[in-house]
Amino acid sequence: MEALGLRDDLNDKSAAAAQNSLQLIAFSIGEQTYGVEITTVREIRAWNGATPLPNTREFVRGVINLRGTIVPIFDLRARFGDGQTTPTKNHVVVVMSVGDKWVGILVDAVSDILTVSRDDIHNVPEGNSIDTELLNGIVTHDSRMVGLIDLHAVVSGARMDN
Amino acid sequence: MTALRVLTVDDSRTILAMLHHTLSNAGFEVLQAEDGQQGLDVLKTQTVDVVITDINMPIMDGIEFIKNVRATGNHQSLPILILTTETSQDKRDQGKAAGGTGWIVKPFDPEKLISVIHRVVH
Amino acid sequence: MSDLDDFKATYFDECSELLTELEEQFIAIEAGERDADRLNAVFRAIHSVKGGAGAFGFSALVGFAHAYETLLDYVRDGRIELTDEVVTLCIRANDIVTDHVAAARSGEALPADYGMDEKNRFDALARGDAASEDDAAGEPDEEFDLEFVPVMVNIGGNDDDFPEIPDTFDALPMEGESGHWEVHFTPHRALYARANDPLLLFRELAVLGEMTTKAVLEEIPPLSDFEPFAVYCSWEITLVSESLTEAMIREVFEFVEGDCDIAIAQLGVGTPPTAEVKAALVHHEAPPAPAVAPINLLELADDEVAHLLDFDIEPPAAPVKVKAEKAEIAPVAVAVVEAKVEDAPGLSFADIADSIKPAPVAKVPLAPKVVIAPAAAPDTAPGEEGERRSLGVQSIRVDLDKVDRVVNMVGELVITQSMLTQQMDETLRTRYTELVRGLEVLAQTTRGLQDSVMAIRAQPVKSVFSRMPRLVRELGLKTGKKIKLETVGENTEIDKTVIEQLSDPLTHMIRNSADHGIESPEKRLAKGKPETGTIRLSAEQAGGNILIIVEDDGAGINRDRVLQVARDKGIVAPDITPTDEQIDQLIFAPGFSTAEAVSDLSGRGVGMDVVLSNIKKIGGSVHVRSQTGRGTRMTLRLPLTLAVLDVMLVKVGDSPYVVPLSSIVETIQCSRANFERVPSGGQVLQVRGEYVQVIDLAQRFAMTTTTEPESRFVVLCEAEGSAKVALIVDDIIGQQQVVIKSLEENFERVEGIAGGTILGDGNVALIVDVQSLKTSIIHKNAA
Repeated sequence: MEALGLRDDLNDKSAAAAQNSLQLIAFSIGEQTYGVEITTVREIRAWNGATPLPNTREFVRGVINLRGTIVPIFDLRARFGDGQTTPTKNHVVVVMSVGDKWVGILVDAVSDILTVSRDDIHNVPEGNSIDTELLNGIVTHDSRMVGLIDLHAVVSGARMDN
Repeated sequence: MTALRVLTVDDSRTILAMLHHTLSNAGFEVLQAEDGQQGLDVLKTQTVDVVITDINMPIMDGIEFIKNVRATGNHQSLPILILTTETSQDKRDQGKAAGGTGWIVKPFDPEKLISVIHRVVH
Repeated sequence: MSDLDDFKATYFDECSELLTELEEQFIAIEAGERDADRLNAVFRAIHSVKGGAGAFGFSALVGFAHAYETLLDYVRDGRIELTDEVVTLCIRANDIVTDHVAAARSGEALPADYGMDEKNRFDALARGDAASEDDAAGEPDEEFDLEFVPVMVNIGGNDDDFPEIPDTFDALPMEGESGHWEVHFTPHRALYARANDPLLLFRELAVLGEMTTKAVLEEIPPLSDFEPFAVYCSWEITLVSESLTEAMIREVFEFVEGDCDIAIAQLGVGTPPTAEVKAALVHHEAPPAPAVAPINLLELADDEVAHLLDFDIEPPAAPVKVKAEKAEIAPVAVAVVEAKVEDAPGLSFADIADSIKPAPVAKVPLAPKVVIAPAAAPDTAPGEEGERRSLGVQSIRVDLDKVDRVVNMVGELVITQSMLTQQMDETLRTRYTELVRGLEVLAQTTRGLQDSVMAIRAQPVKSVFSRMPRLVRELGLKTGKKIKLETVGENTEIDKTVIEQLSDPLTHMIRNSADHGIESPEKRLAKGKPETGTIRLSAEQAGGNILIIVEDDGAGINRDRVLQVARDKGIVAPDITPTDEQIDQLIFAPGFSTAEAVSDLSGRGVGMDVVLSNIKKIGGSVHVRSQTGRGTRMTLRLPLTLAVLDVMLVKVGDSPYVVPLSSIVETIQCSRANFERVPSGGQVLQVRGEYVQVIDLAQRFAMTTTTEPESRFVVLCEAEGSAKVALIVDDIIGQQQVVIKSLEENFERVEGIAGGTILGDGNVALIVDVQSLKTSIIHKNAA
């Protein structure tokens, strides 16, 4: 029983540590670095074109075939209001799950996997409405600022009539 | 030890599913039929250790089914349990007169079901 | 999901089938077909609903169903006459049962007195004709009476010889005397004929206490007189256990009551049986002839004689110890010890389901479900069919998910196959003739496979149609109109998913007909029409489509009023003059309602637009035709299957689009098409004297096109019922089959697009939604 008690203790500690830290996939758009929680990421693939969807906003790049299902691709640069990305084969689509849907986010490159502490997450400063709308928070890593993407916000309002 | 095989005959899928669950959990192998005629068809090709049959069924009811089973050469010593919600004694009596070995009252208590089966099967 | 939830799901599925069957039976019964088969089917349906409800403890449903069942039982055996009044009551009862089932399913309680009036009427009817015979019959709560009621055994003329036997209903140990019991057991022939076995009874007895048995063999005749089927052996058994009661012993013999003589006596602890008792116990009558039809016991005899011989081997006087070994043989039987005799016998499955522990026997793989519905699978070779029949296998029940997986994979296979075929150019064809032949066979087989898989999902529309009579009855009651429903073609088969999506639209359409179409009886008579209005619901297959038609002989659509409302609501722009057909179609426009007084039934402005959107969702279309004073006909055109669509692949800008082949009338090269300008600046196409609206898809979808206007194509389309429309595309690539994929699964609905599909090259093509393009044009103009 003693040994068991010790094990429980260890588990508690590692669980607490896990609870307090966050693993992110970091990706870049121009000079900016953004991150999403690693558990939401399903797949990372090179840009290989998409079929454009009519009657949608410019940040909806279209749809792709992901092993038989149709997945929409969102252009993160365009979503932040910086105009559409001109994608090349070097651009990357990060496929993520948002609720029960799968979506792809078009970014310039995937840079890193980061482990950050939840305590280090700051609120997004008031000011730029797009930033406060689309980011959950900001975290500093290696003196770089990483914006935490609010996926639900990114994929909403895609239709023209919305 | 090979598993005992039970043929369950009932026109209600719910009852069949419950029997299947209870019996297979208790280690029985379960065959199913939805009326007496289907039950007879199964018995033509399959050997079972015990039959559990409903009385009220379309096409061939349980009483006819039991009579037919008993009239067949190989099945005189096949235990047949009547599954019934009938409260009146007469369905039970009819079933017994036709050759039923015993009975189980729906809704059945799973433990009771198993013990009743063991009362009639080796 | 727990097992119990699974069972419940099965139960509710089954209920909906049973209730559907009830509806059908009563349509026939109402029409005068009152034969025994129908009544039996009705009885069985209610009986099954009740049986399952009991298992889950749906007591309100059980109570009502039981009262109803009792009535049906009386009707069935003629104690109650099936008058029109009783039929009406039964139909009402079916509705109540349906509501009870729905309440049980949703977990919402109905009012406690729901259906009480009808229940009282059942009871009154039952009492009126049968009170003297069976007073309790109307009582719903006697359903789960004692499960195993020990009954005193009739021991012939010997009753008087026995000491008083205490009341067997009392399961408590007898006061003052404990533990030592003597049982004298004399089986009759009938016991064996019903496959009971003394050995098993002994095994069960042995579990109750320390047991000794002694075979009484005095009756066995000399071999010369030996009758193989006669029973000559009886047993004297002593059982010793502190807690043993007579009821426990009797329970063991429950099934063989009447098939044996049995005497049970309790002795004082450690007291040997007195001489008299012993005499009484040994004494028994010769076995009376069993009251069963003569049974050939040949097979049985071998077996049973063997048992007898087993016991024969023991020296007659030597007590046989059975306990230990027998108990080990049957580990599960030990559980009997725990089985409380006084357990509430009606204990529901729900209470117990979780407490079942697997027995110590390895779980065997599930037996194949052997026999189910009589519907034979199509296209089965005769030999195979015969073989399967002999096994008793006619159909199997398969999880829909599994079928869908096959459907999807077959869909992909079809596409891969057509892609392979497309890859074959002339050089390859001449060089690899074997390969070409192989591909042809592959194409054929694939097509056959596809058809077969689709047939699995097909179901008759009956399951939806049969819900409608109830609706029409209710509508008739609420509106005070006289309405008759006719159904035609209910065996027409259609994809299961389509069927599931059909219920709401049909309900709305029939409501619309009853509410707005059929006139009041007075108005009808004044117009020289029959007092009773007719709604006709029909289904038929037309090519690759199923047509579902709802027709009424009512007043028809009031076009002036419809147009007026549509203009008032901005649905139709003031400068547009729609045709009669277009006006009729307006009743499906979102937010449209002409009801002058918002009624309880329809006219809330939702309804008909729901019809259109639901039907579009499953790839269908709606068309309405009306004749003033004569009636209205609404036609649903539905795809036979949802999975695979025949399409024309086109290019708009650089993107691939597909247009369902079913809506294409013809394609024309733009250089040969006859375009005309209209005053508004738009273009129309003249085809064979008809002027058709033109939609440039590139413009409509905001795509850039570099194709010369002359080299573009016109795809002339006609969605069901609406006027033609000419779509301008940049190129026509060819025809093919595609598997429809949902955009909404990961995105949302996109205007003008019905879905997506994956082409042979892995790219996504979008499916053009012709009808919604047209509607959106009307909206645009109106705005």
